[in-house]
Amino acid sequence: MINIKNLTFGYSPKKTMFRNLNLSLPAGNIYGLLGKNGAGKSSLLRLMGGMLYPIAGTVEVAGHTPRKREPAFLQEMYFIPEEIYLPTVSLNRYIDTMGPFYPKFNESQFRKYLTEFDVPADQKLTAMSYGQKKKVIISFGLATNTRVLIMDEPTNGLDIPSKSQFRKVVASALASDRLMLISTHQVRDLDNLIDGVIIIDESEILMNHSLTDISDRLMFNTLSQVTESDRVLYAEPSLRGYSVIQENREQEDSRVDLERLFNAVVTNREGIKNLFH
Amino acid sequence: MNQTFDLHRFTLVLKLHLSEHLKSYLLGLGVLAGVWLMMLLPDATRISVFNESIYRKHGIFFAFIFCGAGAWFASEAFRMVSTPVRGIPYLALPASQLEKFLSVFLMVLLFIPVFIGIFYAIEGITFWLINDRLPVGSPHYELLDLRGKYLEKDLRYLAYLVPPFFMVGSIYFPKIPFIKTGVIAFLIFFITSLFLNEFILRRIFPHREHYGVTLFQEVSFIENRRMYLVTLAGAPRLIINSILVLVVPALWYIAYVRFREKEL
Repeated sequence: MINIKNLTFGYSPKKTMFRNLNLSLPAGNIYGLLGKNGAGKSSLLRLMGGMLYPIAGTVEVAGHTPRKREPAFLQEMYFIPEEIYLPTVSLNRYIDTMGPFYPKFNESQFRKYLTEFDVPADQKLTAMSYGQKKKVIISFGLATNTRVLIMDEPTNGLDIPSKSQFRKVVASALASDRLMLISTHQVRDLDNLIDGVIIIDESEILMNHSLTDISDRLMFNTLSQVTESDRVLYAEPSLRGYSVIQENREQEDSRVDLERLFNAVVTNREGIKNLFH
Repeated sequence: MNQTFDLHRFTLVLKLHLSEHLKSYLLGLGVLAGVWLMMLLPDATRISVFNESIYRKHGIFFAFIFCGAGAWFASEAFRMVSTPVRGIPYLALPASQLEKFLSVFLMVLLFIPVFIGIFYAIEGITFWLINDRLPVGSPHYELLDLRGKYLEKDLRYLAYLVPPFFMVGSIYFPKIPFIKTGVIAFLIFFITSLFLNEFILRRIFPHREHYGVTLFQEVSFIENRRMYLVTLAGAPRLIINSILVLVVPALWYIAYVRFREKEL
């Protein structure tokens, strides 16, 4: 669904952000794009959305070239930016003016998501809080039923109950021919939601694997002492000793801790890379 | 599906544009009407005789207010893509680049008849009040003929040039486009009128005492107490006029290309 080949991009030709970047994401999954601030997450998403143009290489999304910004492509891709904008119109007016642009937009689905998010249907968009506006945009994006849904830091501005509502609503909207890509630096917001993890750091994709793949190869464990024989790839002190990531040689089950995984991938690049190759 | 232009999609873009901007457009119309009332209505209380000079004054008012308001309106045309907050939803809107551009272009074009309509409405009221007081047998004031002699040729050209020029500015400068484009416009004007004309005149007519110019068209000067008028004729005149005419669509096209290449 999303194929990036040898992508080179930079805001100025002298200073490139990505060089020969490759990424392939099949449909039917929710991906989490993780990275530190300034790692290039938003730029990568905007390249996929056609808001930025690559210097070299190709970006293909749902069979289209995003930089052409063709209506056929834009009808199949909904982009939720980090900072959102809603016009000063009523909710009904918003549906009337924006809905017809998306052939698969479903109004009842939109209203259902709004209800799930506890957004009052009769409230004016201008009278809504930032968090409520964000929920409107997320609900609208889900109800467009586009094949690709890109969300850049969607949980920013959402309160704690809304974050779990977000996970529930997004998970329910996934279909086999749909791809959702969520960028965040708040990894806990993606717990129990994503199927695949993409970790980007210093303009490089350090990891692009499914959670199943990750839990097959890595074990998330707690140890009282860390010894060399434990084959620990990453360790951080915790109340009960050390929270660690070990090589999963015995194929034991463990729950992927995204925050620990991210720290491990960023601090022990080579160790993790070797394990997944 | 046509990826370049589709009437249904274009209608949707227009509908969306109007739903978002109609209030500010109506507010702008109110301000414009207020400006014209302030400029023209004082005449209605003062003038009680017929004098053709009022047409010249109205012509100058028309040209300058049109250029000012047109420049402001056109420089706001692409405000929606000046920042990622508003620009990303607009660029991601499922319509072609051409349809999005044309919706903005159409609004800038519509500004012209709307402006003229407001001007004539207020001028009509002003003249109606004045005509009522004119002595019997005196000629009456009629609405200004915008194609007539009271609107200078160069000012009329300026009125055509200003909207596309500032529209290009609005897409080039994300911040304060009106000011930045205005500075560039004045720089171009001063370079061409002061530097270029002065420079050429000094070399061709070193003994001239006084001169006046219509940019790219003619120059008049006094030498040895004789008045001279030098104008372009024949092919050079045709070439210069053609270039001046082509500058307008060229600026529209530059704005379109720049919009198409806009990155956020």
